[in-house]
Amino acid sequence: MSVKHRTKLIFVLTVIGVVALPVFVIVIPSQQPFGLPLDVDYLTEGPYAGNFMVTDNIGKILIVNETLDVLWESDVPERFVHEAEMMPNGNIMVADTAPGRVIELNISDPDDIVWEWDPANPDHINWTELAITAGWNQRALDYVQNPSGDWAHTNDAEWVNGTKLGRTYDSLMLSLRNFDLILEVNYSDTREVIWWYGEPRNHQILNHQHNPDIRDNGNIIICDSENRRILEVNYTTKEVVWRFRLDFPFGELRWARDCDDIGNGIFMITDSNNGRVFFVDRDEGRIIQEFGGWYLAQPYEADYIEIDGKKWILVGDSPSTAITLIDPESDLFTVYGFPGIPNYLRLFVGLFSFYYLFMFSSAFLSFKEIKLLERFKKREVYRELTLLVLSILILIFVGSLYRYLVEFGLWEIMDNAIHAWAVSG
Amino acid sequence: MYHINKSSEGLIAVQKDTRISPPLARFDLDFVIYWSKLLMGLLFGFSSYMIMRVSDLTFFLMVPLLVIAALLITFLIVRYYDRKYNVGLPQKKIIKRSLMYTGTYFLAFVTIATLAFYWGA
Repeated sequence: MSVKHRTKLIFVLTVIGVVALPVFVIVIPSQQPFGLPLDVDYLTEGPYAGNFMVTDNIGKILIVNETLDVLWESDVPERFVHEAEMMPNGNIMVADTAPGRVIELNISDPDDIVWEWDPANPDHINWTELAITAGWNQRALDYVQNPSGDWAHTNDAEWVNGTKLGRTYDSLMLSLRNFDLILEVNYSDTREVIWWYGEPRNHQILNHQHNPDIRDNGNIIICDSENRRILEVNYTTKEVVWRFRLDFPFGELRWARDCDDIGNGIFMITDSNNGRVFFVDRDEGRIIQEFGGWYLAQPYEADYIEIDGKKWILVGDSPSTAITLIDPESDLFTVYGFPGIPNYLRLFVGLFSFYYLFMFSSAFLSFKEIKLLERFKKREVYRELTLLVLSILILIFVGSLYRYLVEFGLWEIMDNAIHAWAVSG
Repeated sequence: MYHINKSSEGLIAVQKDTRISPPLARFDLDFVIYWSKLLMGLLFGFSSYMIMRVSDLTFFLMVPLLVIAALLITFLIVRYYDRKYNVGLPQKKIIKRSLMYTGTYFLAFVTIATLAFYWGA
């Protein structure tokens, strides 16, 4: 192949790659109601039972059916919102991450905020008083008293049924990621702090945690994401009663952001940057079943749900711009929405592979006079063949390529960029 | 090997050729650079994953550092080749040759790092 033809081919492939970018990342995803789904819940009660509630990181809470028709929508949460949960009273509790607040939205009026807890509001919480009571050090005190940037990063609000715990009041378990702190606040007008775990900037206890859950026995399961472990903490003594981590060289948890107790001594962990969801036998501390890998990009949270008597794993996977429903028995899955970003990456690397396929073919055919096997010994041929094989391997593992880049340093840049975008909105 | 040089006056000079020609095609410089870059890409790609597992070095420092290391090693290989076979490459050409197949290095690096990341979860 002449240099002229090679240049033409590169030009054509570049044009396809450039034109396809806005089509895959902007135009096609805009045809669906959500952009970057983080938390996805399957509703089992109330007027919207049998539908999905989606927390769209773009700044929306939606209830959609299986054909992605919007049944309910609220634009009140700001960009960067992480979590929403249906309350027993039918309203929706939202962890509105950019401002750090927690808001209860009225199901009858999506624009109406019924209840709010704001970490920056001195009427809602007195950080100095809490720091003194908790015995935090000066560094922690300095952090909580000086709001700046992505200050609280409230990423979870879990409703706690007080009646079940023999209390006269209900509460909310909140996760303030950038405080390295879990707070339980009274779900009332008093909003007093009932319980806390962690200390700001003390990464020995927690390091940018996600999704605390209360088990039936009262213990709290926490994804201690950046310490690469899952903890189970005794509510009364605050002692760690169970710890799960994977040790080098036998793998490692990478930014695990959800852990649910699904019964029978099994915990379901969402291991985001490994692009997988897996079951762990709690007593043995061993992975017993694993899902995802190639078809999940960076799952945020997974729920073990039941639809018509059958168990499913429901996953919110924001880089895929889609909801994934996995059958735990067969590992087959259904995708709701268009996985724009992974599909664009596949196309992009596919164009690379096409280029090397073309180069290899033309080099191979240019030695017509030589025996077939002898052609592979020619430098021009084996060079192109090597590059073709390498590019096809990248194409196959393109999902982990994305996570590799994120893990290798893009994470902080992306996080800061997203927060800046959230605040600018 | 001897070269016979005939001058215009008909004088004959016999000069011993001190250059050592590579005996086989696989010692061709182009061949050596290609395989060096490919193997270094694979090795450094896997190392990048291992480095990440044991340190907090970021992508933005590690990747350029490994590229510089690969280029430096190639430079030394080319220089060694140049001296061994008395090719007489000028410094500029040695540098230019060291940059050859850097694309192959990157492709090998990304492929093996991605595979290591996938299987080393």
